[in-house]
Amino acid sequence: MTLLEIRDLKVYYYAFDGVVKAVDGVSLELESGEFFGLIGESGCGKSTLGNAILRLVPPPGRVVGGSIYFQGEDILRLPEDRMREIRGDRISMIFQDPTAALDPVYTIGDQIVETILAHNPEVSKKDAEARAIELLKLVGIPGAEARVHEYPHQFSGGMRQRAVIAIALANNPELLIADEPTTNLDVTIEAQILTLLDELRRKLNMSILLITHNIGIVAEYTDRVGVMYAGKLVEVGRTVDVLTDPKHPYTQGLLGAIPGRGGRKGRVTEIPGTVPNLANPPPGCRFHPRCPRRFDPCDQEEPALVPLPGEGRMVACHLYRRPES
Amino acid sequence: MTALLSLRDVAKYFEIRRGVFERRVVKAVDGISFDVEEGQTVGLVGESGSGKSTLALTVLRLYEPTGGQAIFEGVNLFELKGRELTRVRRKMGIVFQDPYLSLNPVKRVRDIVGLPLKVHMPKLSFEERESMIREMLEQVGLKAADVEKFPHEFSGGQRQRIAIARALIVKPKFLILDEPTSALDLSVQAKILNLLLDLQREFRLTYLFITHDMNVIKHISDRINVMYLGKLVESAETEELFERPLHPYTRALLSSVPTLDPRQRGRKKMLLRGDPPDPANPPPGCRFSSRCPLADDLCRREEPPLVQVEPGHWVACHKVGG
Ligand SMILES: Nc1ncnc2c1ncn2[C@@H]1O[C@H](COP(=O)(O)OP(=O)(O)OP(=O)(O)O)[C@@H](O)[C@H]1O
Ligand SMILES: Nc1ncnc2c1ncn2[C@@H]1O[C@H](COP(=O)(O)OP(=O)(O)O)[C@@H](O)[C@H]1O
Ligand code: SF4
Ligand code: SF4
Ligand SMILES: [Mg+2]
Ligand SMILES: [Mg+2]
Repeated sequence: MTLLEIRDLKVYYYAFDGVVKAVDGVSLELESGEFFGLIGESGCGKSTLGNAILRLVPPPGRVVGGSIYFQGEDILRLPEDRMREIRGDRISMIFQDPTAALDPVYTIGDQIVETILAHNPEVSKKDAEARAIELLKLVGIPGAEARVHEYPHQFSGGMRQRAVIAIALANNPELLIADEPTTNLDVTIEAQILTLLDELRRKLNMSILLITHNIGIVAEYTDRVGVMYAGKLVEVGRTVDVLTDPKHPYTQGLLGAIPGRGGRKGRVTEIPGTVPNLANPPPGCRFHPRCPRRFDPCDQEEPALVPLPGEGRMVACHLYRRPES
Repeated sequence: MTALLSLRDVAKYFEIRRGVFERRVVKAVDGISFDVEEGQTVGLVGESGSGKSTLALTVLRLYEPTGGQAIFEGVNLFELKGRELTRVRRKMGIVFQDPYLSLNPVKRVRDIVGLPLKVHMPKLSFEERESMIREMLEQVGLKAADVEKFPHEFSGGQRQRIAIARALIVKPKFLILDEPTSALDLSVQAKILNLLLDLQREFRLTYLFITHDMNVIKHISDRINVMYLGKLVESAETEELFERPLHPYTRALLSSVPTLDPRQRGRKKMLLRGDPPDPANPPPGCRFSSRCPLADDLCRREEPPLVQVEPGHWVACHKVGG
């Protein structure tokens, strides 16, 4: 069942030196219960897309077009008070830096309780406190009964991220958006946190939209993956398909640039050039100045995201367009 | 083969004060010994706070060592002073992780890259210095005309090239690279890694490469040293370490690295429980004992020594070897 449907979303930042087209016509569907990974290099618009789903794009950013249907309702057109009911309740979000997400002057327990009560005024404080302990146990914090009374600074980095996850899960969201949730953590802790998220997703039947630039994480944990380049979604499909048989030249380039696959001390395959400035992206296919396979129409016509044979596979590249009938 | 650098029992302790009465000692680096062979790349891995950067800065004498020796070309760096130290330092360079913080934002590239020349070769004329700077910029893939620019005019990858140019301008033999690609995107990382490999071949450089990225370290290193809370827990040639990791921490580390092949994800991972201990208050005995699935009473009582279990393969664990 489709949980979230993004149609032709456009989010622009009106910066003083130009309009940055951070998300420029992205369409994407998330199924309920699925683990979806969104990858792409720094600045390609991943966080902007994630923030837009919660209507939290900071100024000078603005959603300038498209729609986001959440269970059939276009949340971009909801009044702000209805949106506030959804945020932190049916859709919640965790970020890269757990320290910034926690308030240093309140205990971890108080912060969970507050999240519960904000959306469920009928719940008693006592029940909310019991639920806070239950949530801390759920995310694997030992000694939850005592820890619930501690402050964020008394937690290690990995524990803080667990606490943030506990807050995000407080109201059993249907969708969790996780923006680089483990980027500041060590690999052993990262594996713990992601395994935990995956277990919770199954247990609570929620969908996760995981934003990352780490292809290994996508390979290890997600069901489907979307690849973004310069404000566009360029490829979508089942993770196994996309990572074992990438179709878009950019996806192929990214996978080739991972070190440690070929011979030791050999050359790592590079992608020529650099990412474009999104205030002034190249015409046609945005990847064309760097694409080893570009041909005639690439610098003029923009390729649309079109289906390919295979379950839910889509790619935006002229190499795959169907012969004109 | 000869060791260009031999570390013997290198230690660096920090004293931290909390309030008036509480004084605690963090043994950030606590008796590290290993060799770096000339022309090789030696990798150093370990979680954050395990002491990798402290070790690097201590070896370069940017921190005063607490103990041990660092023998570089037969000379103990820890005994050098003043001019002698400056002279040896010229043979060693360092590149840091963050290309945004490590370059002075108000200085032009000319002054950033040229600074080591002013320190180590003060007699050069402006023209001589200028031509060396321009040539170095081209060596690292920038343009000679970039001398006029400021750091903010460059991307992250280009800034890292500036930092590499600065480290190499006085033609050192030995370079410490402290997470040089950790802040960079994959496609930018690929370019920097290739540059480092090319420069190593061209100038016969020796690298100590610090990272927590196992894909990177596997690609670039000849040998790998694994640190945990200030201690060396395992040391082996790259292939040997990846094929036969012996220390429980190394095994957990390698099994936590996400596979790049989604078809392999069913494999069993060795997940660690709990969090890394407070470095100022590590567990007694083996420092890994609070998270190790194999820990027993002996582990919690006695610290395991680093022993050679195979030629060239060293491990510090009661349950491995002898
Ligand atoms: N407040 C802002 N004002 C102007 N431009 C912005 C602002 N925030 C983001 N942008 C621009 O929008 C584009 C997309 O940014 P976004 O943060 O969504 O990228 P991202 O894919 O999440 O990157 P990263 O991997 O670095 O987190 C970039 O070009 C960025 O510079
Ligand atoms: N200048 C310092 N003063 C006090 N403690 C420090 C200092 N630098 C590092 N430490 C401590 O030493 C330990 C090792 O740190 P570091 O060498 O930075 O680790 P790594 O580079 O492996 O992440 C940590 O516990 C850290 O907090
Ligand atoms: S549309 Fe053309 S330029 Fe763009 S990725 Fe495909 S082949 Fe390359
Ligand atoms: S010495 Fe004991 S606690 Fe330490 S790594 Fe070996 S088995 Fe684990
Ligand atoms: Mg982001
Ligand atoms: Mg460090």
